[in-house]
Amino acid sequence: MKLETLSLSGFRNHNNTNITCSPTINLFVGKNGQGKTNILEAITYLSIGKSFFSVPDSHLVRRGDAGFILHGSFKSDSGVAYNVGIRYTDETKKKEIRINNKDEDRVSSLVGKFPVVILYPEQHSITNGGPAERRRFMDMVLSQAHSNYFEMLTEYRRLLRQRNAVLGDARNRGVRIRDLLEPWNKTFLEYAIGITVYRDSFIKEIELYIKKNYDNIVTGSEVPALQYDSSVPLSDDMSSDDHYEKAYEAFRTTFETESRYGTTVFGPHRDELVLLINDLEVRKYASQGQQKSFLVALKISESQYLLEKRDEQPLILLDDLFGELDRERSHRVLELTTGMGQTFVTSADETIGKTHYSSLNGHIQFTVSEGYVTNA
Amino acid sequence: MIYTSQSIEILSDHLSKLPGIGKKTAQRLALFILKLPDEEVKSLANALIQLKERVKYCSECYNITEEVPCSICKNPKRDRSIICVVEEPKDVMAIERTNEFHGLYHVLGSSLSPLDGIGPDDLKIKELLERIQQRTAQDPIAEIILALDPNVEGEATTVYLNKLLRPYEIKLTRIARGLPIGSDLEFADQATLARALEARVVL
Ligand SMILES: [Zn+2]
Repeated sequence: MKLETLSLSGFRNHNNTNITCSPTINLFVGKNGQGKTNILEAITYLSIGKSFFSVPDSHLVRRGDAGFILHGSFKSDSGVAYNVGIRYTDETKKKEIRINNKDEDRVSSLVGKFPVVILYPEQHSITNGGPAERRRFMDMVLSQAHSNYFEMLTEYRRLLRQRNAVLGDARNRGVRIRDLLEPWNKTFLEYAIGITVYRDSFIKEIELYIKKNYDNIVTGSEVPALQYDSSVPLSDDMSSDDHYEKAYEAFRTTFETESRYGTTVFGPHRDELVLLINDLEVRKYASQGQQKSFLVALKISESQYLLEKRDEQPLILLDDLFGELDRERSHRVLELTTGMGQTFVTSADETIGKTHYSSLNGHIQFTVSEGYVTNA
Repeated sequence: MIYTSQSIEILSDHLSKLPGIGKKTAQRLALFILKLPDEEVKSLANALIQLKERVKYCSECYNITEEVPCSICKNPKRDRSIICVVEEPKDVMAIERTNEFHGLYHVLGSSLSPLDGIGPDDLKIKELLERIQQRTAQDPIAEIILALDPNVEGEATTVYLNKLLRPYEIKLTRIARGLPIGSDLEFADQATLARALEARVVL
């Protein structure tokens, strides 16, 4: 996938920005707070219908504007053109999506069509933060790789909120609560199993990529690995009735606890993806350097996984790479990602083009200043 | 926003409570109404009052109606042995438009949604059971069709009603959760397609 042109109006600090992109490497340089990251945020928004930061849409609107409009013209690897427009109106909090001049009423029609891989500083929490960060990582990749997963996840979250509303309501305490929960249980468990099935095979598949990529970044005898701790028991045939029964048993053993805590304690929203180097947990025992290398290996693997599943080269967005990684490691990342797909890099270092890309043809360097973008 | 007229402010406040209407649109509508001729404003106001005064819920099926019981329940040509359970009056309208169903309806008012504070007691479920119990051997119910929305709330409501209605030994069916008419198999999302396959019927 290639992004050919991009325009932002009323988005963050961009009044009216129009960019013609390089099919290879796009560098956005400028001081902090000038609007570099906002460009990557806009690309992400066009791709998955939201920002990579967890912020409400109204925060993305430029001060004094009634809403924002984003537009991108994409071209798939097989040459099909897509015009994507998203308009958000703050007054009604409505988001309108148009693909090739046709209204799309659901974000799900967008997710996965224009796959992206994003590396931004806050993502260090994938390797050193809590389990929620790694679930978010899995959900982001799987939602883009399989439209079915995204649909399932959306429904699962809704079921979870409905169940929790029953559990959290003090009036339901006592015998009545099991009766009120029962109608939700079957579908809840079906979606829980469905999500687990996808995550399980994702983890097995991406682990192979990670082993290879990590070896390219780190020379030595370090062996990375992934381990999936799921609520739903794992088995070879998770679509069988036997497995459903087994999963229901596991679910049932949590009924007392969930009533006591007033929240659902069983299900993929409690899963953990454990990252390991030489059998030791990365989060607890790995050095900062190892954690960063692991993250880079993970991101490159993500791109390869998406390419395999979607048959489409994802866009690669690297936010403030040099601020985060040391010079050597970031150069290695750029080497590895160059040739993997169209890349968008932000940096406060205006010499980045000369030092890292001088040998490569076709890169464009943009300067970003107070929401204005100019070539070179 | 500072108003120089309290009446504009009051009307804007009311209008902004309508779905999809924000503060600015509400103000624009209020100013638009201000410019309308007197008679038009009066008939708009009357229409609103009449809506509340005349529209009632049918005592049998809980659909909206101006006469009780409603024209569907009263119609001798309708098949009284089949009852189709739906969430809202707009679902009755949708099914009526197909001209394929000639039985009676039962409107629950909503689906189960604990998030919105809607539990079994808030739906017309008790009334449905009473309706079933009141029928005699000469006037039986042969089938109950559950036609709830194809979403997680509709599914939970179907499961709940299924359990409750089972003891009555009436044939229970549900509409197939298939593809919307006019959609292409090729472009259907996988979840819908999967459900359609699951609900397949023997030809
Ligand atoms: Zn009626």
